[in-house]
Amino acid sequence: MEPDRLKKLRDLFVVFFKASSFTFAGGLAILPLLEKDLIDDRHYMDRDEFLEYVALCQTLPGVITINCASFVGARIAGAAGAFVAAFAAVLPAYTIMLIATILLKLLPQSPVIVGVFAGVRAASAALIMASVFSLGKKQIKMVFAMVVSAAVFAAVLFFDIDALPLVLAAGLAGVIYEALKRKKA
Amino acid sequence: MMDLLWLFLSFAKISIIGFGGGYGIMSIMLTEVAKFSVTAAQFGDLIALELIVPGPIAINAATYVGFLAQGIPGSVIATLGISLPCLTLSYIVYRFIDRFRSNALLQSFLSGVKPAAVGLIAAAAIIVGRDVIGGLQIRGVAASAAIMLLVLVGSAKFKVNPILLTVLSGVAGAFFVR
Repeated sequence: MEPDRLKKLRDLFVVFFKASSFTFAGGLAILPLLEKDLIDDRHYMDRDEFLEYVALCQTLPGVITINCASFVGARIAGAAGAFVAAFAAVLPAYTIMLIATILLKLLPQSPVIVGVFAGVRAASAALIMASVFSLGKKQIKMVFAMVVSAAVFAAVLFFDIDALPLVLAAGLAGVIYEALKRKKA
Repeated sequence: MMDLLWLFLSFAKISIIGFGGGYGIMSIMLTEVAKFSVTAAQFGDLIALELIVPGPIAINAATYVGFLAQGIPGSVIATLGISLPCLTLSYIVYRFIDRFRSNALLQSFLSGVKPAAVGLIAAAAIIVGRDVIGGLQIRGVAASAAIMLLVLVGSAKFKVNPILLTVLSGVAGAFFVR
């Protein structure tokens, strides 16, 4: 492998490893760190290209950070780049989480601790719901979107339907709806 | 061995239908992980842990659930399961990026999927909340409900730092939720 390519791979690893280690609560927070390192400091790509990848990686399913690492890594150093960047992003998250989980399991179960956890879990439920409000504001601007969300919500809660068929059905509904809209126009 | 295979497939499935970022993935994970004896209450612990652990939410979640299900090998398999499909898919999309951008069919498919993700996340919130309340006495239920309401308003309306909210809730829980 040419030295230039090797350097790029090494840089990709370092950039994504560092960025992932300092990003808390949500994949999107990693973006400014990547922007600074890859574009401003090392000039590995244009800002326009980067922004396009950012939009794209949120549209695809799966882990947004990995999608992003894949695009950026591929752009800079081909398939190897995609793999290295993704691996570097996952490594710190995996390691620290594993340690935290093991420590959590070792915690004793006194009434105070049980109370703390009950409080924390209540907060967690509320935080998930809070994210619905900010996401909803962005994604749900039309009646169609509202109907789809409400239908999926009800299907999961009251009819215990699995996510996979719901997502596919929603996608299909989107296709049909857009096609109908176009026919009318 | 079969258990690990199921774990991998389960997370691969989540990776492929997981729209809506971290919380979107987690909402789908909630129903999947019941198969591995992970309760909604443990899921609540996961959300709290994620606030203090760095990295992508989905990776943290896979590591956590994988470990609870099958120990360290489980954590590796689950993390691989959730990473490999989207890595592959993204790379393929990158190679065909021009065709992907202008594909109307794909865009209309996504226009249905994105609001669906919002619905899934809302349902997940209810499920976790319900499970938390389920195991408590009356006094605990009232305290939990109060915590939930305060945190919801605090986060959604006033954008209070979620870590702060979680810590305060833990303290409140120690005193009021017994």
